[in-house]
Amino acid sequence: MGNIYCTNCGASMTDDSIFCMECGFRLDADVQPARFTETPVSGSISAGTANKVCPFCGAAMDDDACFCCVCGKRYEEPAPFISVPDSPAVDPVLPAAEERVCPACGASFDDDSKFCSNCGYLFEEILRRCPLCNAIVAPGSNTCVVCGNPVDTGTVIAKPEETAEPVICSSPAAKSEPAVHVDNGGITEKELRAAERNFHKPPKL
Amino acid sequence: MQQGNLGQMTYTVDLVFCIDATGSMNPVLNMVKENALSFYTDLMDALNAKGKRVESVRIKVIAFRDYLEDMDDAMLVTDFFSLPDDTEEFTDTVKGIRAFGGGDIPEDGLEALGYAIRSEWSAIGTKRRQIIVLWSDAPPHPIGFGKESKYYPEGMANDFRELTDWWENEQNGYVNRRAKRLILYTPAGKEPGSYDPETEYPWDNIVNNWNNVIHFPSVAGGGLKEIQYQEIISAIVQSI
Repeated sequence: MGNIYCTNCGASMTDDSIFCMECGFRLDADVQPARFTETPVSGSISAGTANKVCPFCGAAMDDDACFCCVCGKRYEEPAPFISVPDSPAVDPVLPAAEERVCPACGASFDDDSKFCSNCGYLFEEILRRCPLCNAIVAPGSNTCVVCGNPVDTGTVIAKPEETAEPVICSSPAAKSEPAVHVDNGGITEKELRAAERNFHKPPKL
Repeated sequence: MQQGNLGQMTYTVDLVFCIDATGSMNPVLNMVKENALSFYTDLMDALNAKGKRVESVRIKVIAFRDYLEDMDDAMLVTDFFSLPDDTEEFTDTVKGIRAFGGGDIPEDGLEALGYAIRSEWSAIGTKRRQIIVLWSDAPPHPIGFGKESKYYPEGMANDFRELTDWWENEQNGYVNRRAKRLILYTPAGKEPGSYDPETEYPWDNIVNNWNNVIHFPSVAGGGLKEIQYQEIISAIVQSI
């Protein structure tokens, strides 16, 4: 893959780019961008080095890119968003859904949404929840605004109901079993099956 | 099947184990399970020591709980296991019984006894024995207590008097007067006169008024702390 340069601003880009990630200029098919075959310029986009994702189309972006080279939309840092209860009477664990807005386009979103239905922003990338009260924690914040609990800024916390393992038995053996383990009081599977096989409802008297 | 010697009387022994399988029975249930592993061998050894020749031994198990509390798990029965052929299946089945439920302290042991009496006893052998062994750490509900449950059986004895008739009246054809034995491992009653024995402590009423009953008192409500297994074996052997 060779490198090309934006005919508008001269920024480097990969030869499969449709838009310039620096100025957003669309590289129309009839406009031949400047093409060089020398040693690739550092900073070209690759899946392995990109840390930023276009909130509109999901394409990988350079950290310093202002525009997506695939869809051409301008990239803006997500605005911090927090959930604030209407009043003290509102359950702080699950704030009202309409109070949360997409950091990319401002549209409201549902609590369980993974993507913004308006612009496709991937919420899960930034969504964290307070482990104490389950409220959504603003990106970059290290404190829950609902309960004040310190929150690890580096960890994305999924909702408890999504991560809770349905382990009933806490015996060491159960830890290595992926399925739900029920303590049968030392009864083996063979014995349980025998009991199930041989016990039945009493016959009519 | 063992072949009897000429002129030697052979026995056909049918056993019905009625096991209280409610939560409080958990400690004793494990002991019953352990004993089940060696039950046939121990019984045969004891009988041989007495010079008694057994042609057939069959064991049936009834696990009982509480109709109002445990619904369709309140009464579970097996068919007869023929030992020694079915020893492994019998043992696994007994060991597979889980102790749970029960609700209040009394359980539906009288209904279990009713089912045991109405078992399909063997009709072969020159001399038969029909032995019921019932383990419980609790007094029974009055018979019919669980009638509100949709799982309560039709045709069960309507009251204690009818249940007594099932045991005592040979004309019913349920148990044989000479063959029947009932071994109770149940709590002893309160002081005589302090309760209605027909409704509160039927175990005592059975012990005092039914024929061919052997009673090993246990402690009510606290679980059977110790099963005198050898005493039960001995009682069975002596009753044959």
